[in-house]
Amino acid sequence: MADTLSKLQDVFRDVFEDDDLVITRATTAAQVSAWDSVMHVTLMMAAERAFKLRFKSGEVTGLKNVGELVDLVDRRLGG
Amino acid sequence: MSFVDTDFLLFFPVVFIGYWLLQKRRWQNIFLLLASQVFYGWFDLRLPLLLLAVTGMNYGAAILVDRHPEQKGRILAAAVVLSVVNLCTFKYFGWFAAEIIPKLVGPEEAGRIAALHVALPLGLSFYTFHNLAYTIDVSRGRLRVRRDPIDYFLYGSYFPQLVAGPVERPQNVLPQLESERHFDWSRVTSGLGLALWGGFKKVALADAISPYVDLMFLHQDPSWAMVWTGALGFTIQAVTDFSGYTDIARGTSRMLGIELMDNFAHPYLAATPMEFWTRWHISFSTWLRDYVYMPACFSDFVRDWITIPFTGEWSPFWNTARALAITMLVSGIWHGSTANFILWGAYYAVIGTIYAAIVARLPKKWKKDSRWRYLTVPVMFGFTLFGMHIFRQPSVPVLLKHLTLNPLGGTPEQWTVSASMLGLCAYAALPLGLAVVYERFLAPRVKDAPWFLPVRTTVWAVFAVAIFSSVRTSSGDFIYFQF
Repeated sequence: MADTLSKLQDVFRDVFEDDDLVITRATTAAQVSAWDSVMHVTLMMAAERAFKLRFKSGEVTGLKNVGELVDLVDRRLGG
Repeated sequence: MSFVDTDFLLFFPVVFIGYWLLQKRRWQNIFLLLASQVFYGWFDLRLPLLLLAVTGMNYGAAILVDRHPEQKGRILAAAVVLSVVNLCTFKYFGWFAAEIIPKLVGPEEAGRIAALHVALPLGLSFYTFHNLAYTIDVSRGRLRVRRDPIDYFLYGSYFPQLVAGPVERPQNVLPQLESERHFDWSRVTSGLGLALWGGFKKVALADAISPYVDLMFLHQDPSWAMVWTGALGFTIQAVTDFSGYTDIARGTSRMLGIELMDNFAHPYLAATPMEFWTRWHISFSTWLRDYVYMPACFSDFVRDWITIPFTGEWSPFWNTARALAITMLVSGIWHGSTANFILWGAYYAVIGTIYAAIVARLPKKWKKDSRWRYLTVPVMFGFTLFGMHIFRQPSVPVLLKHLTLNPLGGTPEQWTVSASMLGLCAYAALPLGLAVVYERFLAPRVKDAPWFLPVRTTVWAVFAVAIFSSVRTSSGDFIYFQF
Protein backbone atom coordinates (compact mmCIF):
# COMPACT_ATOMS: atom_id res chain seq x y z
CA MET A 1 0.00 0.00 0.00
CA ALA A 2 2.86 2.38 0.88
CA ASP A 3 4.53 1.47 -2.41
CA THR A 4 1.36 2.24 -4.31
CA LEU A 5 0.99 5.63 -2.63
CA SER A 6 4.63 6.45 -3.31
CA LYS A 7 4.36 5.45 -6.96
CA LEU A 8 1.13 7.43 -7.28
CA GLN A 9 2.91 10.44 -5.82
CA ASP A 10 5.33 10.33 -8.77
CA VAL A 11 2.38 10.08 -11.17
CA PHE A 12 0.70 13.09 -9.53
CA ARG A 13 3.92 15.15 -9.66
CA ASP A 14 4.37 14.28 -13.31
CA VAL A 15 0.77 15.04 -14.33
CA PHE A 16 0.41 18.25 -12.32
CA GLU A 17 4.00 19.32 -13.11
CA ASP A 18 4.69 20.03 -9.45
CA ASP A 19 7.79 18.43 -7.91
CA ASP A 20 6.79 19.60 -4.43
CA LEU A 21 3.32 18.07 -4.49
CA VAL A 22 2.76 15.74 -1.52
CA ILE A 23 -0.28 13.50 -1.48
CA THR A 24 -1.75 11.47 1.35
CA ARG A 25 -4.64 9.03 1.48
CA ALA A 26 -6.88 11.93 2.57
CA THR A 27 -5.97 14.22 -0.37
CA THR A 28 -9.00 15.21 -2.46
CA ALA A 29 -9.42 16.87 -5.86
CA ALA A 30 -10.43 20.11 -4.15
CA GLN A 31 -7.00 20.31 -2.48
CA VAL A 32 -4.98 20.03 -5.70
CA SER A 33 -5.25 23.04 -7.97
CA ALA A 34 -6.05 22.21 -11.62
CA TRP A 35 -7.52 18.78 -10.74
CA ASP A 36 -10.59 19.11 -12.97
CA SER A 37 -12.34 16.49 -15.10
CA VAL A 38 -9.80 16.81 -17.94
CA MET A 39 -6.87 16.39 -15.55
CA HIS A 40 -8.67 13.52 -13.83
CA VAL A 41 -8.70 11.58 -17.11
CA THR A 42 -5.02 12.42 -17.71
CA LEU A 43 -4.22 11.32 -14.17
CA MET A 44 -6.10 8.03 -14.43
CA MET A 45 -4.48 7.22 -17.78
CA ALA A 46 -1.04 8.03 -16.34
CA ALA A 47 -1.82 5.73 -13.38
CA GLU A 48 -2.88 3.01 -15.85
CA ARG A 49 0.49 3.31 -17.59
CA ALA A 50 2.44 3.37 -14.32
CA PHE A 51 0.74 0.27 -12.89
CA LYS A 52 0.17 -1.49 -16.25
CA LEU A 53 -3.56 -1.99 -15.79
CA ARG A 54 -6.78 -0.79 -17.37
CA PHE A 55 -9.47 0.88 -15.28
CA LYS A 56 -13.18 0.55 -15.94
CA SER A 57 -15.33 3.70 -16.07
CA GLY A 58 -17.31 2.73 -12.96
CA GLU A 59 -14.09 2.46 -10.98
CA VAL A 60 -12.66 5.89 -11.68
CA THR A 61 -15.93 7.76 -11.15
CA GLY A 62 -16.81 8.90 -7.68
CA LEU A 63 -13.41 8.27 -6.08
CA LYS A 64 -13.61 10.38 -2.93
CA ASN A 65 -9.89 10.76 -2.25
CA VAL A 66 -6.44 9.42 -3.05
CA GLY A 67 -6.96 6.64 -0.49
CA GLU A 68 -9.78 5.17 -2.60
CA LEU A 69 -7.52 5.31 -5.66
CA VAL A 70 -4.75 3.50 -3.75
CA ASP A 71 -7.26 0.83 -2.66
CA LEU A 72 -8.52 0.48 -6.23
CA VAL A 73 -5.01 0.01 -7.62
CA ASP A 74 -4.12 -2.50 -4.88
CA ARG A 75 -7.35 -4.42 -5.47
CA ARG A 76 -6.73 -4.57 -9.21
CA LEU A 77 -3.10 -5.60 -8.83
CA GLY A 78 -4.02 -8.15 -6.18
CA GLY A 79 -6.81 -9.56 -8.35
CA MET B 1 -48.14 23.45 -10.98
CA SER B 2 -45.31 25.84 -11.50
CA PHE B 3 -43.40 27.46 -8.63
CA VAL B 4 -44.58 30.89 -9.79
CA ASP B 5 -48.27 29.97 -10.08
CA THR B 6 -50.66 31.33 -7.48
CA ASP B 7 -51.70 27.68 -6.99
CA PHE B 8 -48.24 26.91 -5.63
CA LEU B 9 -48.48 29.81 -3.18
CA LEU B 10 -51.51 28.00 -1.71
CA PHE B 11 -50.16 24.45 -2.16
CA PHE B 12 -46.82 24.91 -0.40
CA PRO B 13 -48.09 26.38 2.91
CA VAL B 14 -50.55 23.46 3.20
CA VAL B 15 -47.76 20.95 2.55
CA PHE B 16 -45.39 22.75 4.92
CA ILE B 17 -47.86 22.84 7.84
CA GLY B 18 -49.16 19.30 7.30
CA TYR B 19 -45.64 17.90 6.96
CA TRP B 20 -44.30 19.38 10.19
CA LEU B 21 -47.47 18.51 12.13
CA LEU B 22 -46.89 14.83 11.31
CA GLN B 23 -43.49 14.73 13.09
CA LYS B 24 -42.78 11.01 12.45
CA ARG B 25 -40.45 10.39 9.49
CA ARG B 26 -42.55 7.56 8.07
CA TRP B 27 -45.73 9.66 7.93
CA GLN B 28 -43.82 12.68 6.68
CA ASN B 29 -42.46 10.63 3.76
CA ILE B 30 -45.89 9.21 2.88
CA PHE B 31 -47.34 12.72 3.02
CA LEU B 32 -44.55 14.14 0.81
CA LEU B 33 -44.96 11.29 -1.68
CA LEU B 34 -48.69 12.03 -2.01
CA ALA B 35 -48.02 15.79 -2.20
CA SER B 36 -45.49 15.16 -4.99
CA GLN B 37 -48.09 13.24 -7.01
CA VAL B 38 -50.60 16.08 -6.51
CA PHE B 39 -47.96 18.65 -7.57
CA TYR B 40 -47.15 16.70 -10.73
CA GLY B 41 -50.74 15.73 -11.48
CA TRP B 42 -51.70 19.41 -11.36
CA PHE B 43 -50.08 19.80 -14.82
CA ASP B 44 -51.92 16.77 -16.24
CA LEU B 45 -53.67 13.94 -14.39
CA ARG B 46 -51.90 11.28 -16.49
CA LEU B 47 -48.40 12.44 -15.59
CA PRO B 48 -48.10 10.73 -12.16
CA LEU B 49 -48.65 7.36 -13.90
CA LEU B 50 -45.58 7.93 -16.08
CA LEU B 51 -43.59 9.15 -13.07
CA LEU B 52 -44.52 6.05 -11.06
CA ALA B 53 -43.63 3.81 -14.02
CA VAL B 54 -40.14 5.35 -14.41
CA THR B 55 -39.51 5.29 -10.67
CA GLY B 56 -40.89 1.76 -10.30
CA MET B 57 -38.75 0.46 -13.17
CA ASN B 58 -35.56 1.72 -11.49
CA TYR B 59 -36.68 0.51 -8.06
CA GLY B 60 -37.24 -2.98 -9.49
CA ALA B 61 -34.07 -2.98 -11.63
CA ALA B 62 -31.87 -2.21 -8.61
CA ILE B 63 -33.48 -5.04 -6.60
CA LEU B 64 -32.86 -7.42 -9.54
CA VAL B 65 -29.21 -6.29 -9.70
CA ASP B 66 -28.88 -7.03 -6.00
CA ARG B 67 -30.49 -10.48 -6.32
CA HIS B 68 -28.68 -11.51 -9.50
CA PRO B 69 -25.26 -9.79 -9.44
CA GLU B 70 -24.00 -12.12 -12.19
CA GLN B 71 -26.64 -10.58 -14.50
CA LYS B 72 -26.12 -6.96 -13.45
CA GLY B 73 -24.68 -5.89 -16.82
CA ARG B 74 -27.74 -7.10 -18.69
CA ILE B 75 -30.19 -5.70 -16.13
CA LEU B 76 -28.48 -2.31 -16.21
CA ALA B 77 -28.39 -2.32 -20.02
CA ALA B 78 -32.13 -3.10 -20.11
CA ALA B 79 -32.87 -0.28 -17.63
CA VAL B 80 -30.79 2.22 -19.61
CA VAL B 81 -32.32 1.19 -22.95
CA LEU B 82 -35.88 1.35 -21.56
CA SER B 83 -35.20 4.80 -20.07
CA VAL B 84 -33.62 6.16 -23.24
CA VAL B 85 -36.34 4.74 -25.52
CA ASN B 86 -39.08 6.12 -23.26
CA LEU B 87 -37.41 9.54 -23.12
CA CYS B 88 -36.65 9.70 -26.85
CA THR B 89 -40.17 8.60 -27.82
CA PHE B 90 -41.69 11.55 -26.02
CA LYS B 91 -38.87 14.02 -26.71
CA TYR B 92 -38.37 13.50 -30.42
CA PHE B 93 -41.78 12.28 -31.62
CA GLY B 94 -42.72 15.76 -32.89
CA TRP B 95 -39.47 16.08 -34.85
CA PHE B 96 -39.77 12.51 -36.16
CA ALA B 97 -43.40 13.06 -37.24
CA ALA B 98 -42.55 16.33 -39.00
CA GLU B 99 -39.19 15.48 -40.61
CA ILE B 100 -38.84 11.72 -41.07
CA ILE B 101 -42.28 10.10 -41.33
CA PRO B 102 -43.43 12.18 -44.36
CA LYS B 103 -40.39 10.84 -46.23
CA LEU B 104 -41.30 7.23 -45.38
CA VAL B 105 -45.09 7.17 -45.84
CA GLY B 106 -47.71 9.11 -47.77
CA PRO B 107 -48.85 12.58 -46.67
CA GLU B 108 -52.23 11.26 -45.45
CA GLU B 109 -50.67 8.62 -43.19
CA ALA B 110 -48.00 11.11 -42.00
CA GLY B 111 -50.77 13.58 -41.11
CA ARG B 112 -52.59 10.91 -39.08
CA ILE B 113 -49.39 10.12 -37.13
CA ALA B 114 -48.57 13.79 -36.55
CA ALA B 115 -52.13 14.31 -35.25
CA LEU B 116 -51.29 12.11 -32.25
CA HIS B 117 -49.51 15.18 -30.83
CA VAL B 118 -47.21 13.32 -28.46
CA ALA B 119 -45.77 16.07 -26.28
CA LEU B 120 -42.80 15.87 -23.91
CA PRO B 121 -44.12 15.33 -20.38
CA LEU B 122 -42.80 18.02 -18.09
CA GLY B 123 -39.67 17.01 -16.20
CA LEU B 124 -39.42 13.54 -17.80
CA SER B 125 -35.72 13.88 -18.63
CA PHE B 126 -34.90 15.21 -15.16
CA TYR B 127 -36.52 12.39 -13.22
CA THR B 128 -35.35 9.81 -15.76
CA PHE B 129 -31.76 10.90 -15.06
CA HIS B 130 -31.93 11.03 -11.30
CA ASN B 131 -33.67 7.66 -11.11
CA LEU B 132 -31.14 6.17 -13.52
CA ALA B 133 -28.27 7.48 -11.37
CA TYR B 134 -29.55 5.23 -8.57
CA THR B 135 -29.70 2.09 -10.74
CA ILE B 136 -26.25 2.71 -12.23
CA ASP B 137 -24.66 3.37 -8.82
CA VAL B 138 -26.24 0.23 -7.33
CA SER B 139 -24.93 -1.84 -10.24
CA ARG B 140 -21.46 -0.24 -9.86
CA GLY B 141 -21.47 -1.27 -6.19
CA ARG B 142 -21.32 2.35 -5.02
CA LEU B 143 -24.71 2.31 -3.32
CA ARG B 144 -26.70 -0.26 -1.40
CA VAL B 145 -30.06 -1.25 -2.80
CA ARG B 146 -33.19 0.24 -1.21
CA ARG B 147 -36.16 -2.00 -0.55
CA ASP B 148 -38.48 0.42 1.21
CA PRO B 149 -40.83 1.54 -1.59
CA ILE B 150 -41.99 4.70 0.23
CA ASP B 151 -38.47 6.07 0.70
CA TYR B 152 -37.39 5.17 -2.82
CA PHE B 153 -40.54 6.38 -4.59
CA LEU B 154 -40.23 9.65 -2.67
CA TYR B 155 -36.61 9.97 -3.87
CA GLY B 156 -37.82 9.33 -7.42
CA SER B 157 -40.65 11.85 -7.34
CA TYR B 158 -39.82 14.46 -4.66
CA PHE B 159 -41.68 17.55 -5.92
CA PRO B 160 -39.21 20.45 -5.37
CA GLN B 161 -36.67 18.89 -7.79
CA LEU B 162 -39.12 17.04 -10.00
CA VAL B 163 -39.67 19.09 -13.15
CA ALA B 164 -36.43 21.01 -13.70
CA GLY B 165 -33.86 19.61 -11.29
CA PRO B 166 -31.41 19.77 -9.68
CA VAL B 167 -30.74 16.30 -11.12
CA GLU B 168 -30.15 14.86 -7.67
CA ARG B 169 -27.93 11.99 -6.62
CA PRO B 170 -29.17 9.15 -4.42
CA GLN B 171 -26.10 9.51 -2.15
CA ASN B 172 -27.29 13.00 -1.20
CA VAL B 173 -31.06 12.62 -0.95
CA LEU B 174 -31.78 9.03 0.14
CA PRO B 175 -29.91 9.23 3.48
CA GLN B 176 -31.85 12.41 4.29
CA LEU B 177 -35.18 10.75 3.50
CA GLU B 178 -34.16 7.82 5.70
CA SER B 179 -33.31 10.03 8.71
CA GLU B 180 -35.56 11.72 11.26
CA ARG B 181 -36.12 15.38 10.43
CA HIS B 182 -36.92 17.92 13.10
CA PHE B 183 -38.28 21.41 12.73
CA ASP B 184 -35.41 23.90 12.71
CA TRP B 185 -36.41 27.56 12.62
CA SER B 186 -33.05 28.74 11.25
CA ARG B 187 -33.26 26.32 8.29
CA VAL B 188 -36.83 27.40 7.60
CA THR B 189 -35.89 31.09 7.47
CA SER B 190 -32.78 30.36 5.43
CA GLY B 191 -34.86 28.29 2.97
CA LEU B 192 -37.52 31.01 2.79
CA GLY B 193 -34.85 33.62 1.95
CA LEU B 194 -33.38 31.42 -0.77
CA ALA B 195 -36.81 30.72 -2.29
CA LEU B 196 -37.70 34.43 -2.26
CA TRP B 197 -34.40 35.29 -3.95
CA GLY B 198 -35.11 32.61 -6.56
CA GLY B 199 -38.65 33.90 -7.11
CA PHE B 200 -37.32 37.45 -7.46
CA LYS B 201 -34.76 36.37 -10.07
CA LYS B 202 -37.45 34.60 -12.08
CA VAL B 203 -40.33 37.04 -11.83
CA ALA B 204 -38.62 40.43 -11.53
CA LEU B 205 -35.51 39.80 -13.66
CA ALA B 206 -35.92 36.91 -16.13
CA ASP B 207 -39.57 37.63 -16.96
CA ALA B 208 -38.86 41.38 -17.25
CA ILE B 209 -36.20 40.88 -19.91
CA SER B 210 -37.70 37.85 -21.67
CA PRO B 211 -40.25 39.62 -24.00
CA TYR B 212 -37.55 41.99 -25.30
CA VAL B 213 -35.13 39.12 -25.92
CA ASP B 214 -37.91 37.40 -27.90
CA LEU B 215 -38.43 40.55 -29.96
CA MET B 216 -34.72 40.74 -30.79
CA PHE B 217 -34.53 37.12 -31.89
CA LEU B 218 -37.82 37.09 -33.80
CA HIS B 219 -37.12 40.33 -35.69
CA GLN B 220 -37.09 39.69 -39.44
CA ASP B 221 -34.31 42.15 -40.25
CA PRO B 222 -32.32 43.00 -37.13
CA SER B 223 -29.11 45.00 -36.97
CA TRP B 224 -25.83 43.59 -35.65
CA ALA B 225 -26.23 45.54 -32.39
CA MET B 226 -29.79 44.20 -31.91
CA VAL B 227 -28.61 40.63 -32.42
CA TRP B 228 -25.78 40.86 -29.91
CA THR B 229 -27.63 42.87 -27.25
CA GLY B 230 -30.40 40.28 -27.65
CA ALA B 231 -27.85 37.50 -27.10
CA LEU B 232 -26.55 39.33 -24.03
CA GLY B 233 -30.14 39.64 -22.78
CA PHE B 234 -30.70 35.91 -23.27
CA THR B 235 -27.43 35.15 -21.47
CA ILE B 236 -28.76 37.01 -18.43
CA GLN B 237 -32.29 35.68 -18.82
CA ALA B 238 -31.03 32.08 -18.93
CA VAL B 239 -29.11 32.33 -15.67
CA THR B 240 -31.78 34.29 -13.78
CA ASP B 241 -34.56 32.00 -14.98
CA PHE B 242 -32.83 28.68 -14.36
CA SER B 243 -30.94 29.57 -11.20
CA GLY B 244 -34.15 31.23 -9.97
CA TYR B 245 -35.98 27.92 -10.39
CA THR B 246 -33.16 26.06 -8.64
CA ASP B 247 -33.16 28.46 -5.69
CA ILE B 248 -36.93 28.09 -5.23
CA ALA B 249 -36.49 24.29 -5.37
CA ARG B 250 -33.60 24.31 -2.87
CA GLY B 251 -35.26 26.88 -0.63
CA THR B 252 -38.62 25.10 -0.35
CA SER B 253 -36.84 21.78 0.16
CA ARG B 254 -34.67 23.27 2.92
CA MET B 255 -37.86 24.45 4.63
CA LEU B 256 -38.89 20.79 4.67
CA GLY B 257 -35.53 19.81 6.20
CA ILE B 258 -34.08 18.26 3.02
CA GLU B 259 -30.99 19.84 1.46
CA LEU B 260 -30.69 19.69 -2.34
CA MET B 261 -27.41 20.18 -4.19
CA ASP B 262 -26.39 23.56 -5.54
CA ASN B 263 -26.84 23.96 -9.27
CA PHE B 264 -25.18 27.31 -10.06
CA ALA B 265 -22.04 28.98 -8.73
CA HIS B 266 -21.80 32.31 -10.58
CA PRO B 267 -21.16 30.61 -13.95
CA TYR B 268 -20.21 33.82 -15.77
CA LEU B 269 -17.15 34.15 -13.51
CA ALA B 270 -15.66 30.99 -15.03
CA ALA B 271 -12.19 31.39 -16.52
CA THR B 272 -12.14 28.25 -18.71
CA PRO B 273 -14.67 26.02 -20.52
CA MET B 274 -14.06 23.25 -17.96
CA GLU B 275 -14.63 25.64 -15.07
CA PHE B 276 -17.83 26.84 -16.72
CA TRP B 277 -19.29 23.34 -16.49
CA THR B 278 -18.42 23.18 -12.79
CA ARG B 279 -20.48 26.34 -12.26
CA TRP B 280 -23.41 26.02 -14.71
CA HIS B 281 -26.22 23.45 -14.22
CA ILE B 282 -23.81 21.64 -11.90
CA SER B 283 -26.11 18.72 -11.19
CA PHE B 284 -26.52 17.87 -14.89
CA SER B 285 -22.85 18.59 -15.71
CA THR B 286 -21.66 16.24 -12.98
CA TRP B 287 -24.27 13.68 -14.11
CA LEU B 288 -22.83 13.85 -17.64
CA ARG B 289 -19.30 13.67 -16.23
CA ASP B 290 -19.98 10.52 -14.21
CA TYR B 291 -22.32 8.63 -16.54
CA VAL B 292 -21.28 9.79 -20.05
CA TYR B 293 -17.84 11.47 -20.02
CA MET B 294 -16.07 8.91 -17.82
CA PRO B 295 -17.53 5.89 -19.67
CA ALA B 296 -16.56 7.66 -22.92
CA CYS B 297 -12.99 7.80 -21.60
CA PHE B 298 -12.67 4.40 -20.00
CA SER B 299 -15.22 1.94 -21.39
CA ASP B 300 -13.69 -0.90 -23.37
CA PHE B 301 -16.18 -0.40 -26.20
CA VAL B 302 -15.23 3.24 -26.78
CA ARG B 303 -11.50 2.58 -26.33
CA ASP B 304 -11.46 -0.31 -28.75
CA TRP B 305 -13.94 0.80 -31.38
CA ILE B 306 -14.17 4.59 -31.55
CA THR B 307 -10.73 5.69 -32.63
CA ILE B 308 -9.50 8.74 -34.49
CA PRO B 309 -7.37 7.82 -37.55
CA PHE B 310 -3.84 9.20 -37.87
CA THR B 311 -3.62 10.40 -34.25
CA GLY B 312 -0.63 8.16 -33.53
CA GLU B 313 -0.12 6.69 -30.10
CA TRP B 314 -3.27 7.04 -28.06
CA SER B 315 -2.80 9.84 -25.56
CA PRO B 316 -4.78 11.42 -22.73
CA PHE B 317 -5.34 14.43 -25.00
CA TRP B 318 -7.08 12.46 -27.75
CA ASN B 319 -8.95 10.47 -25.16
CA THR B 320 -10.25 13.72 -23.66
CA ALA B 321 -11.12 15.13 -27.11
CA ARG B 322 -13.09 12.01 -28.01
CA ALA B 323 -14.89 11.92 -24.65
CA LEU B 324 -15.72 15.64 -24.86
CA ALA B 325 -17.14 15.20 -28.36
CA ILE B 326 -19.35 12.30 -27.23
CA THR B 327 -20.48 14.08 -24.04
CA MET B 328 -21.29 17.42 -25.65
CA LEU B 329 -23.09 15.67 -28.50
CA VAL B 330 -25.27 13.89 -25.91
CA SER B 331 -25.83 17.20 -24.12
CA GLY B 332 -26.76 18.93 -27.38
CA ILE B 333 -29.19 16.17 -28.41
CA TRP B 334 -30.70 16.20 -24.91
CA HIS B 335 -31.46 19.91 -25.25
CA GLY B 336 -33.31 19.42 -28.54
CA SER B 337 -33.52 17.78 -31.93
CA THR B 338 -32.83 20.92 -33.98
CA ALA B 339 -29.47 21.62 -35.60
CA ASN B 340 -28.68 24.64 -33.41
CA PHE B 341 -28.54 22.44 -30.29
CA ILE B 342 -26.23 19.93 -31.99
CA LEU B 343 -24.07 22.85 -33.15
CA TRP B 344 -24.09 24.25 -29.61
CA GLY B 345 -22.86 20.90 -28.24
CA ALA B 346 -20.17 20.69 -30.94
CA TYR B 347 -19.11 24.26 -30.15
CA TYR B 348 -18.45 23.41 -26.50
CA ALA B 349 -16.62 20.20 -27.51
CA VAL B 350 -14.34 22.23 -29.81
CA ILE B 351 -13.54 25.02 -27.33
CA GLY B 352 -13.02 22.42 -24.57
CA THR B 353 -10.59 20.49 -26.77
CA ILE B 354 -8.72 23.64 -27.80
CA TYR B 355 -8.50 24.63 -24.14
CA ALA B 356 -7.09 21.18 -23.22
CA ALA B 357 -4.49 21.50 -26.02
CA ILE B 358 -3.45 25.00 -24.93
CA VAL B 359 -3.30 24.27 -21.21
CA ALA B 360 -1.06 21.23 -21.84
CA ARG B 361 1.51 23.52 -23.47
CA LEU B 362 1.42 26.46 -21.07
CA PRO B 363 4.48 27.07 -18.89
CA LYS B 364 3.98 25.86 -15.30
CA LYS B 365 4.37 29.30 -13.72
CA TRP B 366 1.65 30.74 -15.97
CA LYS B 367 -0.84 28.12 -14.81
CA LYS B 368 -0.25 29.06 -11.18
CA ASP B 369 -0.60 32.81 -11.69
CA SER B 370 -4.14 33.73 -10.67
CA ARG B 371 -3.83 37.22 -12.21
CA TRP B 372 -4.62 35.60 -15.57
CA ARG B 373 -8.22 35.43 -14.41
CA TYR B 374 -8.58 39.20 -15.06
CA LEU B 375 -8.12 38.36 -18.74
CA THR B 376 -9.54 34.84 -19.00
CA VAL B 377 -12.86 35.51 -17.22
CA PRO B 378 -13.97 38.22 -19.73
CA VAL B 379 -12.69 36.08 -22.64
CA MET B 380 -14.64 33.07 -21.36
CA PHE B 381 -17.72 35.25 -20.94
CA GLY B 382 -17.35 36.14 -24.63
CA PHE B 383 -17.31 32.43 -25.51
CA THR B 384 -20.36 31.86 -23.29
CA LEU B 385 -22.21 34.73 -24.99
CA PHE B 386 -21.46 33.21 -28.38
CA GLY B 387 -22.68 29.81 -27.12
CA MET B 388 -25.90 31.34 -25.83
CA HIS B 389 -26.39 32.98 -29.21
CA ILE B 390 -26.19 29.59 -30.94
CA PHE B 391 -28.47 28.04 -28.29
CA ARG B 392 -31.22 30.66 -28.63
CA GLN B 393 -31.32 30.89 -32.43
CA PRO B 394 -34.40 29.38 -34.09
CA SER B 395 -32.35 27.88 -36.95
CA VAL B 396 -28.83 27.58 -38.33
CA PRO B 397 -29.51 29.66 -41.52
CA VAL B 398 -30.76 32.53 -39.34
CA LEU B 399 -27.68 32.14 -37.11
CA LEU B 400 -25.37 32.36 -40.13
CA LYS B 401 -27.25 35.41 -41.41
CA HIS B 402 -26.87 37.11 -38.04
CA LEU B 403 -23.16 36.28 -37.80
CA THR B 404 -22.44 37.98 -41.11
CA LEU B 405 -24.14 41.29 -40.29
CA ASN B 406 -22.22 44.56 -40.55
CA PRO B 407 -21.30 45.67 -36.99
CA LEU B 408 -21.79 49.33 -37.95
CA GLY B 409 -25.06 48.79 -39.79
CA GLY B 410 -28.58 49.62 -38.63
CA THR B 411 -31.02 52.51 -38.59
CA PRO B 412 -31.03 55.13 -35.79
CA GLU B 413 -34.17 53.43 -34.42
CA GLN B 414 -32.35 50.06 -34.30
CA TRP B 415 -29.43 51.63 -32.41
CA THR B 416 -31.93 53.14 -29.94
CA VAL B 417 -33.57 49.74 -29.44
CA SER B 418 -30.14 48.14 -28.90
CA ALA B 419 -29.17 50.80 -26.36
CA SER B 420 -32.46 50.23 -24.50
CA MET B 421 -31.77 46.49 -24.49
CA LEU B 422 -28.34 47.16 -23.04
CA GLY B 423 -30.01 49.20 -20.28
CA LEU B 424 -32.37 46.31 -19.53
CA CYS B 425 -29.40 43.94 -19.38
CA ALA B 426 -27.69 46.25 -16.88
CA TYR B 427 -30.89 46.32 -14.77
CA ALA B 428 -31.15 42.51 -14.73
CA ALA B 429 -27.43 41.93 -14.18
CA LEU B 430 -27.06 44.40 -11.31
CA PRO B 431 -28.73 42.24 -8.62
CA LEU B 432 -26.59 39.28 -9.75
CA GLY B 433 -23.45 41.38 -9.32
CA LEU B 434 -24.62 42.60 -5.92
CA ALA B 435 -25.28 38.98 -4.91
CA VAL B 436 -21.65 38.06 -5.71
CA VAL B 437 -20.35 41.03 -3.69
CA TYR B 438 -22.66 40.18 -0.77
CA GLU B 439 -21.80 36.48 -0.79
CA ARG B 440 -18.02 36.90 -1.10
CA PHE B 441 -17.26 40.05 0.85
CA LEU B 442 -20.18 41.31 2.93
CA ALA B 443 -21.95 38.27 4.36
CA PRO B 444 -19.06 36.98 6.51
CA ARG B 445 -18.56 40.46 8.03
CA VAL B 446 -22.11 41.66 8.65
CA LYS B 447 -23.96 38.50 9.68
CA ASP B 448 -23.51 39.23 13.39
CA ALA B 449 -24.23 42.96 13.22
CA PRO B 450 -27.32 44.10 15.20
CA TRP B 451 -28.85 45.73 12.12
CA PHE B 452 -28.40 42.63 9.91
CA LEU B 453 -31.75 41.02 10.79
CA PRO B 454 -33.98 44.07 10.06
CA VAL B 455 -32.07 44.82 6.82
CA ARG B 456 -32.33 41.20 5.67
CA THR B 457 -36.04 41.11 6.50
CA THR B 458 -36.58 44.32 4.53
CA VAL B 459 -34.76 42.88 1.50
CA TRP B 460 -36.90 39.72 1.69
CA ALA B 461 -40.02 41.90 1.93
CA VAL B 462 -38.93 43.69 -1.26
CA PHE B 463 -38.50 40.30 -2.97
CA ALA B 464 -41.93 39.18 -1.74
CA VAL B 465 -43.65 42.39 -2.95
CA ALA B 466 -41.94 42.06 -6.34
CA ILE B 467 -43.05 38.43 -6.63
CA PHE B 468 -46.64 38.98 -5.50
CA SER B 469 -47.11 42.06 -7.67
CA SER B 470 -45.79 40.34 -10.79
CA VAL B 471 -46.79 36.72 -10.33
CA ARG B 472 -50.07 37.09 -12.23
CA THR B 473 -48.35 38.52 -15.30
CA SER B 474 -45.35 36.21 -14.99
CA SER B 475 -44.85 33.39 -17.44
CA GLY B 476 -45.39 30.21 -15.41
CA ASP B 477 -42.93 28.45 -17.69
CA PHE B 478 -39.25 28.24 -16.98
CA ILE B 479 -36.80 27.92 -19.89
CA TYR B 480 -35.71 24.46 -18.76
CA PHE B 481 -39.27 23.10 -18.66
CA GLN B 482 -38.88 22.39 -22.41
CA PHE B 483 -35.96 20.02 -21.82
